[in-house]
Amino acid sequence: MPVAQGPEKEKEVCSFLKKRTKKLLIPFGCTANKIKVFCFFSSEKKAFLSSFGPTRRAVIGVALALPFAARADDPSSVLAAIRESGVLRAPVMLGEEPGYIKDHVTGDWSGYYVTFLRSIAEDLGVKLQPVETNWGNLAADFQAHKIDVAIGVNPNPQRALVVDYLSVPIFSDAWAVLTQKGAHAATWAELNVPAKRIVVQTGSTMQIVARALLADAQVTPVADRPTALLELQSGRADAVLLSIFDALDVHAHGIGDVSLPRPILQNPATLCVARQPGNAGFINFLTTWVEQQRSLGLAQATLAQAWKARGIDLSILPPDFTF
Amino acid sequence: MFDLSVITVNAPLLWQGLLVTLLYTVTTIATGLLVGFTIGLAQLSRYPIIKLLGRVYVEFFRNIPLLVILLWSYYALPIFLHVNITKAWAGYLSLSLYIGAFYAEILRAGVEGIDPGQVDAATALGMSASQRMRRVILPQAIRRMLPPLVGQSIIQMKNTTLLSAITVPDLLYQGSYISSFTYKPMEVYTAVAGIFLIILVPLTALARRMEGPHASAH
Repeated sequence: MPVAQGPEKEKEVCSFLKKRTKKLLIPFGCTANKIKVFCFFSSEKKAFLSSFGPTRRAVIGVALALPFAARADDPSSVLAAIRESGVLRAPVMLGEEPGYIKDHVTGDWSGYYVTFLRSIAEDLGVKLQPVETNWGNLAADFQAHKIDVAIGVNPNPQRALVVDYLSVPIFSDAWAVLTQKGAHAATWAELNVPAKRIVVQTGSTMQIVARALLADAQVTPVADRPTALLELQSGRADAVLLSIFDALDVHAHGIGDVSLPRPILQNPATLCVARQPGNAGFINFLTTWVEQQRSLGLAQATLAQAWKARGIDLSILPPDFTF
Repeated sequence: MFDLSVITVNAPLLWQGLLVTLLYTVTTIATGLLVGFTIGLAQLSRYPIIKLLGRVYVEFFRNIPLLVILLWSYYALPIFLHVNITKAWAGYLSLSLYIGAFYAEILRAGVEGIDPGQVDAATALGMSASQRMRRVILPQAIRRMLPPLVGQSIIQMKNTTLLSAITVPDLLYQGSYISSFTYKPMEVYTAVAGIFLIILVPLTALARRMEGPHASAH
């Protein structure tokens, strides 16, 4: 078989490298047909390149073209990639009932966050694909392109350095504490004493709340909610910091008492997506979806149904509290 | 109060978890033995480059915590190499390659522990290198290696609990799952500990019995 030489060889190498570059860019949100990769050989025009062999010249050409490839990306590429794949991948996790509930028999996922995610998937014309993970691994899931969107996240500027949050929350609840039975915490200041042992979940916004308001208390971060409850049940903690809805759900199982310390701290739950070129259209779609959910009362209706199904009594919330 | 009904009602979930734990234990031990045997022999090679490669493998996997290997293979492979590995494969490969390094060390130590005089004697009888290995060294080395191999395999079963970190539904994962909706973690984790004891205590006893005749032979 004759080996291609000269311009033919250059063309062959160039075509190969273009294909590979496109493949490499797809995980960064670029769809293959939208990427323009330039591959050129400069033998006369750029004297410094002529000293390299054809393959090396092509590599340099592609490397120079990469910024253009990224710039050529359009804002709909992430949205288009999700629709092309036919699935919307979103994280689900254990220990986060009633937001995420795993069926004991079938293993199927439900809960109000899953209801929201199914609604998003339906509007996109794709199927929801739950990807099981935990809060601690969420950033890695985004980085590894295992998920497209996460719901129920609290805005956090540190995390906003690597992910894009929606500017509007889907709903807001409040930070509460689950205390030992019979105990009560009227204010945050009451808990902020060295004798109080407070448990929070690692990597959660609870940690930030605790750092700000409970600096004098003994704060113990633990991996997940079951571990936090184990701390409380074994008498090693005085209180667990939880969102009011989660605290009420746990209390409905006969564990501890719920207090809503003053001042009431709002806890906005929103959505976030991986930061990548071409996700502007996806963020815009999600923002529109959230705004519709809120303005038409759809989100509130979904939440109200969830409370009813779980037997959660919201009477602890002040009458003027809206979520 | 210890509420036993949490365990009885959710026994099917624990059973499913146990099956997954046993599946990973058996398959990763089998693969690990193959890997360990290969790497162990590489460490005993007379070619320095093969010996070095064996050593690098062992030191690499022995000195990185299993949880890091597990998380790395599941999350870093897609990031760096664009290899989208499933959690089942990430778990299987990590556990197999990890225990392979320990098995390789057991094999190397077992073979190197044989009195060099026996090799000289076998050589004097005119045996080739492979004959010496098959007829003289390995039969004795395997007897010496069995107790640490069983011990390492027991550790491997306990190592499978790390799979829950990447949400592989093993026994510990199911335990966490049950405690997440029953809010009775004490009962559940006690049951998980009990199941491990029921399976591993007889195996530990077996390992001790294996050690007995070997120890008395010296």
